[in-house]
Amino acid sequence: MESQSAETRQIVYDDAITRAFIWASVLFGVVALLVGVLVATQLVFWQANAGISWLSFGRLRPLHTNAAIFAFVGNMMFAGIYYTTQRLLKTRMASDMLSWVNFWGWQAIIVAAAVSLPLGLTQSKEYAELIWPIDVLVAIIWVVFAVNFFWTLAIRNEKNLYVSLWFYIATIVTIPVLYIVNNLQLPTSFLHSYSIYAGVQDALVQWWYGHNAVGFFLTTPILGIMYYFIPKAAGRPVYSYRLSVVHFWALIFLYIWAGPHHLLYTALPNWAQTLGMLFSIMLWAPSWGGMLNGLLTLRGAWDKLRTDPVLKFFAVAVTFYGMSTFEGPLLSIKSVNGLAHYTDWIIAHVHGGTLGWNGFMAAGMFYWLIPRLYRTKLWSRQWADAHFWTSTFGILMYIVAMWISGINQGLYWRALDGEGFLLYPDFVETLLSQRILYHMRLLGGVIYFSGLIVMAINLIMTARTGRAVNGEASVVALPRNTGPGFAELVRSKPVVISLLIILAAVLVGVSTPITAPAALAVGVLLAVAAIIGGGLGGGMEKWHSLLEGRPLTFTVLTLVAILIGGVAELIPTVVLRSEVPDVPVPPMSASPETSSDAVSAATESEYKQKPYSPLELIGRDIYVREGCYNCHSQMIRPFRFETLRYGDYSRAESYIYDHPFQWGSKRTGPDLHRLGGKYPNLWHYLHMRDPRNTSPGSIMPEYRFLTDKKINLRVIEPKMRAMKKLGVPYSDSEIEGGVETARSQGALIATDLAAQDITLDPESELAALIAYLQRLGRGPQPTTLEKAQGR
Amino acid sequence: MEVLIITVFCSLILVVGGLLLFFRSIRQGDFEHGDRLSLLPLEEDDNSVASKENKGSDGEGKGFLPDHLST
Repeated sequence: MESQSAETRQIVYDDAITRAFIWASVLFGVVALLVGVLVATQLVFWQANAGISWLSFGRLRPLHTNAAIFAFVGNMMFAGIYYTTQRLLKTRMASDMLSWVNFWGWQAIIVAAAVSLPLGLTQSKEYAELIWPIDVLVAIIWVVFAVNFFWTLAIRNEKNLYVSLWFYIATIVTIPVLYIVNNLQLPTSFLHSYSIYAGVQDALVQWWYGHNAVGFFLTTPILGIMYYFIPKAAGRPVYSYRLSVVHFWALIFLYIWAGPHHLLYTALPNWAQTLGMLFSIMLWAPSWGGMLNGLLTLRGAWDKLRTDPVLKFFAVAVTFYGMSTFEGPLLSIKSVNGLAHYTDWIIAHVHGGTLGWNGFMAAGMFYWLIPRLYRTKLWSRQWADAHFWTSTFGILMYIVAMWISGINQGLYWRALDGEGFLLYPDFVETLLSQRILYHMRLLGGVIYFSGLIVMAINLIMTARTGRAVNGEASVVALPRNTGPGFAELVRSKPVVISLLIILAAVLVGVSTPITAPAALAVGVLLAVAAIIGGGLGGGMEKWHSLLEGRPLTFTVLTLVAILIGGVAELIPTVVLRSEVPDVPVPPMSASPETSSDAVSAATESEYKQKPYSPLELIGRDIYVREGCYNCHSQMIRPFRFETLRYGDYSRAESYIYDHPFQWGSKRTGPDLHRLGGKYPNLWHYLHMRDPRNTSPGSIMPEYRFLTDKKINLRVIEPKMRAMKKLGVPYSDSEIEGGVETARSQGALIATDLAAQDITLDPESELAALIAYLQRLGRGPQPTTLEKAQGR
Repeated sequence: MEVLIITVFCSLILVVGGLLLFFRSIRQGDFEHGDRLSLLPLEEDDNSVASKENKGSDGEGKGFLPDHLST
């Protein structure tokens, strides 16, 4: 592919891989949004799943999110990275074979996800639902991508790495850290596993992952793409290269700390919640620095926005980035979060980010690339304009509907009457009040989707009018590296001083309110004095330029920057037993004489959390399979309006055997943490067959098929053994007798229903699910007739 | 009120630190490296339509690449 002369080389770039990823992105973008329209329809017309289990909301919503993130944006990200990396490094990708393994492997992952998620094969961790064999494939393919990328860095013909490449490096090293740590699991079969973490720890690890998946999959690579394509489309260099340096390091260092803002007012330790909130607010500064850097790159080219569809899309995309990164910190403020969490406001936020920021960046990039990759001109500017206006109108309609709906939900839930009781005690009242907004959301989604179809047609027609060509360039071969090496750069003063500042910040964090400002002042002034004193060996810019010529050092420092926050938050919570006690504090309802000392004097076993019975465990797996967490939380926050509606607030010790946790992040339906014992078995039977039987106005799908489907008794023993390995205290006799225990508990439920003229197979999935739902928020339930009568 | 004092104190430190760094940056005047790198994305492929005809960013019409960047 390369012909070499003495000093210059003729490079033929591999643009076929870029074209392939673009078309995959367009295809899966259509699929992701089509599924989105379907699930939005189901929230308006619950019958829209046609009574088919694999079309139910709980199974399709993860398909929608995974397809939008990993298939639509993921393929777009790869397209952008492959195109820009080759040009910024002035070399062809190191290995065509690895590029195509990356492409086909990624598509195989997407297809596997598209098949497994509707079948209910899931881990139930949001954006990490894929089962363990697919996770292994993701890790392998990512390694292939990383090897190809770093190999290309090694053979580059441009010494210094442009800012886009820094963001790609951050993405490539961070995603495996997040993905592997969050997906550590113990398989019970080829298709099933349990997370090695439980309850609070699982929640923290999951949202450390979930938040940073947004940060390092939907943000950093797209920022890299922004830093390349906006200057390219505007014909102007980036507004401030120095600002991009600050933007990069501040963003990747701060982002990783912010995960706990998804768990405010939960049973997560308060210090972790506060850290999450503070770092989220700090994140505002670098995010807006980057946003302004992108927008100001258009200085002097604003008039082009009237005529150039590419710049229109980029300008709106960056505006959405600014809006989302303003909204994120706002939602992380605890008092705002108290209103917004679990509501549709969060849905508005994520769609502004994914469809506004990522979707518009994708469109701008595709409209810029396709004419060049097929050496032609855009088939129709008018169609591109039509896409722009329909998608802009559609996403705004969607977001506004969800903003209103979310704030409406938050206010309805917390409304109290003059005597301090719930004004709207029935959850369905809130749901009914926002039906019109769900219609509006559907309409907005359909309009945005139609814009995407217009784009797909326009791009296909453009490609048909041209022919595929690969870019070429003659480049000067890069001489061998000279200058400071790895060790010298890592030991250099900027690194040492940065680490000292971080150490000082940690010391400030553990000192008193009086000494903290003084320590901070001394630390900052020392750092500034060191910099002013010229002790950086030529200054930050020069040092950074040296760093840009050392990809390995750059990558190591990036890894250190992203690990600090993760280690500081995860290690104490996962390792220290004191952070997640397994013996509870006194229950709120306890009388004064049984509180505090009396409880500590009581036998520990009386209060200690007990594992699920075999049938409850199977029922829990059905709850996970059906994706109930997509609409129901299991986390009652310590607010009066929540304890009035759902019961006593949730505590960390309640979840110590929950592999995986089921706290959820959205309440389309009510919280279920203390559902056990609230209603009789008959209520659950009627409700699961048709929720309208017990809750008129409900939009929950029917689960009639659970009555006919039998549980697989053979999986009980391996599942209990896996749980035991994870620390759940099942005895060997309990495991060996698991099947019989499950049968007898199922028979108890069936007998109870038979007394009310209802026939239910005791080994049906519905019996197991009822057993689990009746256990929620309370201690062990009878599993035999004798125990039930004794009770 | 304690939090207000701490907040104002920390903000002032950041402002002073920022100003010192800003003035140092001006005095140093090392912009060449950043300027060179920031022009990297503007380089066109040898065989691109835009590099030959100075097309617009979507491939149509007269573009707006600076003359010195067009081949």
